Amino acid sequence: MISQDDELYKEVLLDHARHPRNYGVPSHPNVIVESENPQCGDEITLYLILSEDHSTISSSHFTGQACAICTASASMLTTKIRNITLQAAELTAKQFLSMIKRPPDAPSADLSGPLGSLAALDGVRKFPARVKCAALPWRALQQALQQASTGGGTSSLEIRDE
Amino acid sequence: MSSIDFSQFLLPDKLRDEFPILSQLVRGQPLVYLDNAATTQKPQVVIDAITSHYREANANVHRGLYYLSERATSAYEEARQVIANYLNCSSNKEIIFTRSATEGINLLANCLTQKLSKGDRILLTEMEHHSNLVPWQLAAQQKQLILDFVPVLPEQGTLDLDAFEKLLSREPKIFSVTHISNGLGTVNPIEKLVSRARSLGITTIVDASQSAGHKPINVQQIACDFLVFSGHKMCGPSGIGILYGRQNLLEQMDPWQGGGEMISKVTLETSTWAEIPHKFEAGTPNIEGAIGLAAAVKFLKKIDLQRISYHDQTLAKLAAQELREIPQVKIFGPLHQQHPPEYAGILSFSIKGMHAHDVVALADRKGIALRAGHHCNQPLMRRLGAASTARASFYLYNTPNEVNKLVQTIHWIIKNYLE
Repeated sequence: MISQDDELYKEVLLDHARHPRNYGVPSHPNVIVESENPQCGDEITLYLILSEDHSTISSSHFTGQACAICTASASMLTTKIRNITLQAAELTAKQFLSMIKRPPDAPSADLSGPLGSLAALDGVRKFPARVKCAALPWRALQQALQQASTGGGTSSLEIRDE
Repeated sequence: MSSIDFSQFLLPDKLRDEFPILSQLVRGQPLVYLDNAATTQKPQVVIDAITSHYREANANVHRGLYYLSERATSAYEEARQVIANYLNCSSNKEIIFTRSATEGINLLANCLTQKLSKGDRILLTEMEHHSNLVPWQLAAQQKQLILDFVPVLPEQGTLDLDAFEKLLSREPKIFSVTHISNGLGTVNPIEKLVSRARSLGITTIVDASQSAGHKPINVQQIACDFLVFSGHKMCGPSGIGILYGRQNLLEQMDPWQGGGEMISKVTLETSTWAEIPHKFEAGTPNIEGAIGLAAAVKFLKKIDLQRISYHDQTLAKLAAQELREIPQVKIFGPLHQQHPPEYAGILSFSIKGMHAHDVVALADRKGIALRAGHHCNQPLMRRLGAASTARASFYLYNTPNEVNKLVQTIHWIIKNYLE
């Protein structure tokens, strides 16, 4: 297997890439963000379904065409961002982005830390060109959270570099 | 394997020894460099030409009345002659040193559109690199010009020549076209296209970025008005490029950039221009770049450009034959077909169910350098329905053994990633 000794294509990541979770357009999403990296062609649309008072994310979903790193990152995002408050989601996005933006030689992220299995994406640090792939869905989430706090709706996002 | 004997066209493996960079290990594996359409590696003679210029002959050109400046000037002007000979120019005044093919096209897009008026048309094609598209978009915005595009036939990856004929009837003033598609490897029937356009009085420009250094180029035979290319895609250094222009046209054109070197007489109010080619070379030029590029041209001519062309094509065809057998692989461009129209050493492909970035990242695990993406060809890729492809592009130092490694690696990727 590729994943046995590969710092980027870990088994859990490949599993999410091959079998993305929460893939598809949900009915009646409150927030939609169409994110794109035109440089490499990754396209991810993120959907949030909010609780009635808009304080909590009930579920998140995604569609799009992207590389394994970006797809896995989006898939893992949707499993993590579920039944949590907007604030908690914001914190997770911040923690995730700062994890993958640490220097390449920083110690590996802890799988038992608050990010849980998301730490599997920590390996992108060693492949600087792929950091933007892992980051794209989380940038979309950050924009979605802003939108959620101001009444929801649809927007788009274009990112080139991290 | 095919029954055709390709070996007669192949260059000897020992040519690799001339390229110091190729002997390294990448991720524990011998480097297999297959991104030659992006840039090529440099032979020792080119590296030596640049370093010995700095060690022994560095001075500014066309200025100093002392030994070193004379030496640097004559090396720089000899370099111009070497390029003029390679392209079979009628005069070395027709060779202008630029920073790149991109800069050459920007110069032309600026200078040639000065006298155009609102509604005038420029004809390009759908397979142009962004460098032969965006400068025209900028000029079109400024002067309110209209851009037309010769479509690409998606199956063959060739230009639609019937559409070309129809678009000519809209009376474009300028026709700018690539010699070889960097995304597909298609070799355009350049002489035919140019002669048809010129017969209607249209100014013709050829982007030779993928053909220069890969095959013989004869500007008098192509009979274009202008031709551009970059040095780094043909064993030369980066930061140096060539703009060829017909002498009478260059003489008629106003300069693009102002500065030292390009002037004759300067007062505070006004200036007069130097003769060509200096009129278009404002500021201290990339002297070592020109010298390095000339060393590259001499190196390539010694090997024989026609043989290099056969070698590139042979390797691309070998790779295409093997990859075509893999059901998950889709090849784009001429090599998609068993009996392709004219093609170069460029092979674009995708693997079903995989993003090109993953293909290329996994090939890198085996020491293979491929390009992934739109290859600065976004409109073309959209036309082909491919967001991005993986691209292997071959050059004189690649070997059949490296083609085998590529094919094995694609099998390995499919087995380990998709299955």
